[in-house]
Amino acid sequence: MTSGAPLMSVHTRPQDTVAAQSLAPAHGCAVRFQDVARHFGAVRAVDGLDFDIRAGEFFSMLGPSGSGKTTCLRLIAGFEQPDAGTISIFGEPVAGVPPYRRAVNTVFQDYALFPHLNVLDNVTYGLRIRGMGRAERERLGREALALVKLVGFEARRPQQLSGGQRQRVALARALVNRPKVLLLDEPLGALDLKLREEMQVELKALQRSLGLTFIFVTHDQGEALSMSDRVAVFNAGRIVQVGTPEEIYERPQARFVAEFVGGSNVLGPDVAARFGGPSRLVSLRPEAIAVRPAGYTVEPGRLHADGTCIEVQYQGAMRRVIVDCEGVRLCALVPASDVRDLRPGEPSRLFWSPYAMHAMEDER
Amino acid sequence: MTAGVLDLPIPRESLSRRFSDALFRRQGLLLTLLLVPPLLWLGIVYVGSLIALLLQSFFSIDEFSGTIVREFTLKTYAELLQPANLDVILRTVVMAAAVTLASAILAFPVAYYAARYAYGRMKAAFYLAIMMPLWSSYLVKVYAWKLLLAKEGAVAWAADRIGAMPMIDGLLSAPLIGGPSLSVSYIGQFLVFIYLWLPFMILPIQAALERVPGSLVEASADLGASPNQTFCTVVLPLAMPGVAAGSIFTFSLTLGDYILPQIIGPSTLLLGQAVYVLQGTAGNIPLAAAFAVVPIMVMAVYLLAAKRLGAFDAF
Amino acid sequence: MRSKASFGLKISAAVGLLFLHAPLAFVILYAFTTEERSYQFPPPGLTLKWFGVAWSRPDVWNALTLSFQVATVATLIALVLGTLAAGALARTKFFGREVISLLIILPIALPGIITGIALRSAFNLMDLPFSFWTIVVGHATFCVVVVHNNAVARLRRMSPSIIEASYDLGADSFQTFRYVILPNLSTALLAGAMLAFALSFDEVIVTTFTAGQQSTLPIWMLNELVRPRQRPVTNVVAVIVIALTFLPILAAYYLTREEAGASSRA
Repeated sequence: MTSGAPLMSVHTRPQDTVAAQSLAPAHGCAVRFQDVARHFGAVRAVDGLDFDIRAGEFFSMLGPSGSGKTTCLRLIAGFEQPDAGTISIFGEPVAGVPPYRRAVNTVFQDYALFPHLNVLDNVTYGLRIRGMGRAERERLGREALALVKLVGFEARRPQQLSGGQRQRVALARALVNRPKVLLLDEPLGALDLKLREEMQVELKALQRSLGLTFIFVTHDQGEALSMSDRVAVFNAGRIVQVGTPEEIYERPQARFVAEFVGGSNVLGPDVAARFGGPSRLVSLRPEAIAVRPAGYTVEPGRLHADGTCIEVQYQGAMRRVIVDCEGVRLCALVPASDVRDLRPGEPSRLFWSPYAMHAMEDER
Repeated sequence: MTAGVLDLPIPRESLSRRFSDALFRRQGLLLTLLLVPPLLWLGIVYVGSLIALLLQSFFSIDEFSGTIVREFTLKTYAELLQPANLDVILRTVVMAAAVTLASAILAFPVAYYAARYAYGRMKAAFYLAIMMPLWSSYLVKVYAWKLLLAKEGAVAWAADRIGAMPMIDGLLSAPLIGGPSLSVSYIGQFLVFIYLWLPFMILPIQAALERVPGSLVEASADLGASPNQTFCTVVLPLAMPGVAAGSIFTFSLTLGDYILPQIIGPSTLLLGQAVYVLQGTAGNIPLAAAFAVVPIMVMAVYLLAAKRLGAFDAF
Repeated sequence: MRSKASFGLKISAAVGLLFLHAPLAFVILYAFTTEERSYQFPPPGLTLKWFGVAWSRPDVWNALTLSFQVATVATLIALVLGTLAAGALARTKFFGREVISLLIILPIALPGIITGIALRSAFNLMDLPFSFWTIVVGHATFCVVVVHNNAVARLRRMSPSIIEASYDLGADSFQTFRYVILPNLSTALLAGAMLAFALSFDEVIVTTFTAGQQSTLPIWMLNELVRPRQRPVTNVVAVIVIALTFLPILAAYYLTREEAGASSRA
């Protein structure tokens, strides 16, 4: 049931990762981007994309809106053609191959259900196009609806369904064609929090049991980290880092990754050195920092900084504390009991393990 | 590319599928194929005809034989500038302007009510109430007024009952716009023109007003404007694109109409009638063509001005 | 948000609507009058006999038949051309797009007499005799815009991703058109066709230039208006025309209710 786990990469540098994958046999690679670029006029939607997606993995493309992740998905689906570079799906270059000849299916952001067809006819649309007989395709359609827990909704119209139900129909409609690769374009974006969390679990379970390659586009870092085997972080049309969720979260390689994924404290080389760390660009996770009253005796081997508390934000069981340390603002995420009496304006002492300071590549 | 999984049938390789591949590979091929038939029709049949018309306005007619001389000349346009012909043009443009202005004034309350105060079933009823007369038969509408305005008709009967007859007689005795009876006067003609084109004015104004968010009116009231001030400084300027759009119709339709003036109004010709008579009984196609160029020119200027007012966003 | 309309506004709106609708009521009333020679109001008596007289008039039937045939053929041509143009213009941006839009609107934006005389002189120049087909050419030209506008409004409301979804599920362009675009477009096309039919059925200005000796129903009516022969028959025909244009317009409205608020004739 954990087909994704052995595929997790141990490499930390994206260059290494790509090099290692390039040696991998072609059948292990579901989608390969080789120096792919797509421009809209003067706007470079994506540029210099060079990465592989392995067969059977849950691969997320994470980034802010406009970072190129959706364009990337549309390039795989065939709705866009690259201006440069090559995209291969299971080893075959797909230049000029129209979407209807690609063994990939898409779950659209707005679900794109056909308003004139009922749920069952929506789900069996792909099979009908393939020329499958009505009885056979309806049997498969019902199976697919059972898979997404929508039995009994066959005759409904899409307009009569809730957002979550539409999302499931869209999923069933794509899966019934047994694609080799399933593309999901922010499929959970329109759902409320509770439903979104439920669907995250279900999607992941579905992907494991079917052994399919999922390519999942999202701007929600929590979603990407919790579901994926590997995550590619996009910024401004380029991939900044590809790696397992652990790598992305704990060993970010660039300021953008550190800040976008989990809101890390990013310290310049001089500040890092001042706090006792290496003279490098450094990421320091908020939850790695402990907050104590001023003058607290720090255990040997720990690093510390003194400053003035600016703000204590309520976050349920945790508190987000912002402390000004001689002009450097540090953010710490600590258990509520640690800072019960802390008020803004009071002096406090922060400390952390030297291993929590993760050195990143210098900024370009 | 092979199909996803072996146990599902592969779509048949039909000719249309191959053709579809070509449409995908060549950007613009689909667009071209879609555009060619309508462009052939409108470009060749319609624009071709317009150009043919324009060209004929540069021919002239031989005064003795009455045949058309197919040589380039500006003689016909010079003829257009003769007082009698200029008079026809001027009269028509004034009529069109008057009809447009009156339609806008009459249309505004209906459009304003429909846009701001009617909703649900009421709104649908309003929409239909404006659409139905717009689409109902032009000739029947003209005919209705022939019935109404006849000497023995309903208007005269009603005026007689309420004692308004002296008022109508007073109006008819006015110089220039008056006449022996409503059905043969400019007043009657003007009234029927308004009736015919009013829906064309209401709909664009309503569309423009509906695009004015209610919050804007509230904001104006919130900032201390009286309802009248709000109307004059917020609503009216925002409705202007709609008025401009509607006026394109009222103006253009009045300029070109030659049926209504035949049936209701004085015997003096409007532009449309002049074109009709010249090309028909008079057989002077070049002068008819030159006359026809006038509304094209007037409308071209009008459309340019209307575009500046944002009329094309109000359709 | 909405306050009450002022009394003055209500009255002016009501007067405006009454002005739009009352005259047609008189046409209907006059179809039943017993008075033959004049337009006397109020009618001295009411009768149904003129419906029978009109029914037995071959000239009325011929005109009605011709109008039906012309409107049907013109609508079919407009349906094809208008749909193609809508497909090309609804969601695209290209050089010259505005010019093509203008070209489509032009036949109804310019006064009908221009279209009429231009077509007539073109037919004359090409030595084409006036016939059924010359009437159809004129009508189809100004009907294209009606179909086009209805189709464009619907295409713009349609989510573009459902077309991509169809491709994604294996359908080629033709299958996508047949199974996804057409079913979603059909009511708009039907409405456009209804309106085009009504427009053609009612057209008189262009027709007088392109008809030669034939009489469509509006031409027949025009002749009766200019040189009345039997007024009560004209009254009856007017009522028939009201009924025949009323139904397709009402049907078109119900087919495109969602778009109704947003679009007008042009």
